Amino acid sequence: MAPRTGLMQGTLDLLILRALSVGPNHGLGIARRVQQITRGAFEVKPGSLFPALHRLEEQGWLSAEWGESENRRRAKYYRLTKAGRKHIETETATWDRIAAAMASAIAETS
Amino acid sequence: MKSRTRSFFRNLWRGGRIDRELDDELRAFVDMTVDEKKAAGLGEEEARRHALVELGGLDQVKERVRDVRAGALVDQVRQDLVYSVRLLRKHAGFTAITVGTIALGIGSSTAIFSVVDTVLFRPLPYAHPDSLVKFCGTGPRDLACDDDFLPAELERLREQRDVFEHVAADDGTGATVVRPDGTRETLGVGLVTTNWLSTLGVRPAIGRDFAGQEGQPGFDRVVILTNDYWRRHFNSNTSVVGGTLTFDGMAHTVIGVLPPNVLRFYADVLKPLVTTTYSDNSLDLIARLRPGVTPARATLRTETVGRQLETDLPASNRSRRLTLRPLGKYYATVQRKAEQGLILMLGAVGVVLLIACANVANLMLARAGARRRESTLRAALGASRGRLVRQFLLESLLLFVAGGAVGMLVARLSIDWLSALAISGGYVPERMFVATDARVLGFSLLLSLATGLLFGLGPAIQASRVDLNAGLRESTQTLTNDVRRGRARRLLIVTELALSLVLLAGFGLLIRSFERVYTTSGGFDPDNVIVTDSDGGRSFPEAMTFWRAAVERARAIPGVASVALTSRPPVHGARRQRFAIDARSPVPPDEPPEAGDILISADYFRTLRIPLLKGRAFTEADSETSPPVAVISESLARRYFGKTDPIGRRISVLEQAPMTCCVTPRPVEGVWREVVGVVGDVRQRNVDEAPAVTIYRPYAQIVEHDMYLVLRASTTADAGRIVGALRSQLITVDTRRDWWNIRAMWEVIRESESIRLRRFVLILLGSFAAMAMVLAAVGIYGVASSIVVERTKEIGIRMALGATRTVVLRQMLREMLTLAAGGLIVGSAVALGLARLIRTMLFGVTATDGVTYFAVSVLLCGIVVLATCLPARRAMRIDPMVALRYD
Repeated sequence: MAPRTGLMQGTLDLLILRALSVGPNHGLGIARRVQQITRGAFEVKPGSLFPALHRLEEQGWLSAEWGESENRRRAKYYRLTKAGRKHIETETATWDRIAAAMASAIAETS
Repeated sequence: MKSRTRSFFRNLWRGGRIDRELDDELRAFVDMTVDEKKAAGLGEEEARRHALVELGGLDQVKERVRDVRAGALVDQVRQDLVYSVRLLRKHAGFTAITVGTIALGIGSSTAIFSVVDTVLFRPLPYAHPDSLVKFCGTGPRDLACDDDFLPAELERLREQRDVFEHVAADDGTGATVVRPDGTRETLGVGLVTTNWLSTLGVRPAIGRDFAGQEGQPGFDRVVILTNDYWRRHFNSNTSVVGGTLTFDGMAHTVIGVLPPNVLRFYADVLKPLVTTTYSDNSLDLIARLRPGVTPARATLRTETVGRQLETDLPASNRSRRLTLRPLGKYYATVQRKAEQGLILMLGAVGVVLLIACANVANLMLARAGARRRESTLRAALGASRGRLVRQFLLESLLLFVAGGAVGMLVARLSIDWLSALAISGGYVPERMFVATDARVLGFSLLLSLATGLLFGLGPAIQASRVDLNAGLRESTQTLTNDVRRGRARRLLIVTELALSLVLLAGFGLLIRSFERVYTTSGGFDPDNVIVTDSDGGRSFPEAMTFWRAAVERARAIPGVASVALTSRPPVHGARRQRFAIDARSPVPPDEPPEAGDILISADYFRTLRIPLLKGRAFTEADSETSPPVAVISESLARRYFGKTDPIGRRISVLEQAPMTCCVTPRPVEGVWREVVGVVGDVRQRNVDEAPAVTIYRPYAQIVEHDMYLVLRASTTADAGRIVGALRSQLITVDTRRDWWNIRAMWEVIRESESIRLRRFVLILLGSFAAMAMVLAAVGIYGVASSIVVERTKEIGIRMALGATRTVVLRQMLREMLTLAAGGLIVGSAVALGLARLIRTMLFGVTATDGVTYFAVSVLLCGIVVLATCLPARRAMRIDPMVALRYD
């Protein structure tokens, strides 16, 4: 699913935060993990991924530092901050409500 | 394909550090993708192609990231800015008062700064001022710079070519310009060697510098106008260059105009100095050191030259040591007298600025209280503490910058008045032009930003300190924040009062000194006295005839009570002369006694009402042919004759030898004179200076060509009439001789240095003290008002419980006066500490003058009471029922 075709910003943010909740990762790793945890439903393109990462860092939910990848390449690693973890909780709750509402709305009409 | 890869890498290296980091990040992404693809079995080339496709436009990605990065802050600040402007416009009253207060503070600071900067802080307007020096002769004891040199000495220094690149000389003189309407005007002429401007590294703003041959006799009819003279007399018209200026009856070609503020001495025009015909002995010498020559080496050489001159030109060099000083340091010494007053003004205006800022901080604190709900709401909606502080800070910066802008306008409007005042006070050399330029503008802007940050931060932090629970409830109960805010505001009031007291006390002490200076008799009675001077001619008989006739003519004028002659009336200074006392004198030999030397006619003491203490005054019988006599001042009698009777003792003023070209006259032994009388001391130069020892000699025994006529009118009305008509009446004595400076003695005193210096400080300090008082009153009014608002409920309860209005009022007053007492105590302590700084300006009062401090304290208390009563009256009208329902 291309980001342009309606992946809401909030959704992508939550996916990234979720992907990082198991541990720090670099850009490509995050993209791959998002793919993994959504069972291949979302393929995150760099054009959306990197602006999102920098925005989340700006908001203080992520912190970044340079590290070395498994292939001995220098890469920028992102890590959840305390505020980020808290944010996942509220966002998840919100998302649950929306999802439930959407689900019931769809069930009603169909 | 290849080019795309290349452009990818080229783009990687563009941009700043943050961009480079982003590049690194993206490159890592691409590299890792390549690794991944290769692991899946693709070839290197193929893998890289796929990876780049997956990245999808490097520039777009970077651009979008950059937007996120930069956009966040810029967006927020823009939002905050728009919000602030909207708020400030909504609260127009608050904004106007705040901006006005800041404008007052910053405007007056900027105006004073531009004056002080022009005089004290700006580097000399010359090229490489560090290599410029001035030659000084120093006496055996004094450190002052004796800068009277001869052309021969200039030549000798010019020979030291390996040390001095250029040596130049200047001297000042006056010339008379006759206006088309027949009125005369004195023109200040600076005589300078033709290399003088190039030595300083100054080029005329318009036209050309003097040419070498214009220093030859007959070729010197050229002038360069000073910028100030050009501006005032030629309306800055550039076509004046090439025209002529006639003075002293000779036409001079105008060849150029100087840039502003170049000269450090009084002159309207510069004219070439012809060294070969220069017959005076008062050249100022300056030089530019050759590159690489150290000041130490130059000093050494100068002293060597000085020693040679002691043998070659002993007349002028025997008693002095030739040395040099950096030009900058020399001017700094010259300006010291003005410096004290100017720095004092800078300090005073700084205090006004502080009070203004305290007021603004006060207003903002009050508003922070009123905006508590707004801040709380924003915090609840997710604004961080930092964001709130930034918002409030931005508001205060906006206010201060706006205030600064209006302040610049205030400064611009007041600067002409201020510089005229500073010039009349002798603080700014008359030819200096006080400008509002980029430097002053920068100062003002910096001041606005700094004060905005400094005084905005406190209230901003206060305002952002929110308690979500308490804040959202609409409650007027006293919160800790309010208490803290109230404490801060009360502290500001104490500070304002203390600062106001400092200014007022300073002003009070100085005005009392001024009053004393003004009313001090100075040892003579200036009422109804008129002075004027003239040139009686060089030869003794000619001058005697002229002066006798002048006195006769003046006596015949109706309303004139008595007439006398003198070489120097009081407040005009006096020539200092060495003197000797007969063998029985107790004078220490290593300290040659010096005294003011004044020549007078018979009626001098009577005309000026200087008391005769012992012996007799001069009479008409003391003439050329009678035995030489002298009258001495009381302080001279006390100092040199002690308890013995000076009458009948002998004293000798060492005379100046007649002036000849190129030889400095030195004192020679004069005739011995018998002391016939002792008179009271007269303050000969400034009324606030200690009286100098003085010797009076009868003018008939040693006449000078330049003398003053002193008249005493019978009544004040007569005096006024005489001043107006005196010139036309005296001119009949000898139509070839003019009469100058016809002035009432009081006018001379008013324009004397000590009065002028004081007047400037007084007027400014008075204005500042008044501003401080108004600002403090406004501040107190504000705090008292907010106390009333904060306490509406409390006052309501108290009144419901039976408290009378007077009780409520009394309580308010007690509270404010307690603050006032704190401010006055702190202020008095500070003022007493600072009074040391103005001790030299005090006259007739001490720095701890109780009357001044008491009067100032009473005045400030009055203001406190007034500023409290107005809002307190509102408190008294509070209806208990309404107040209790208010919540």
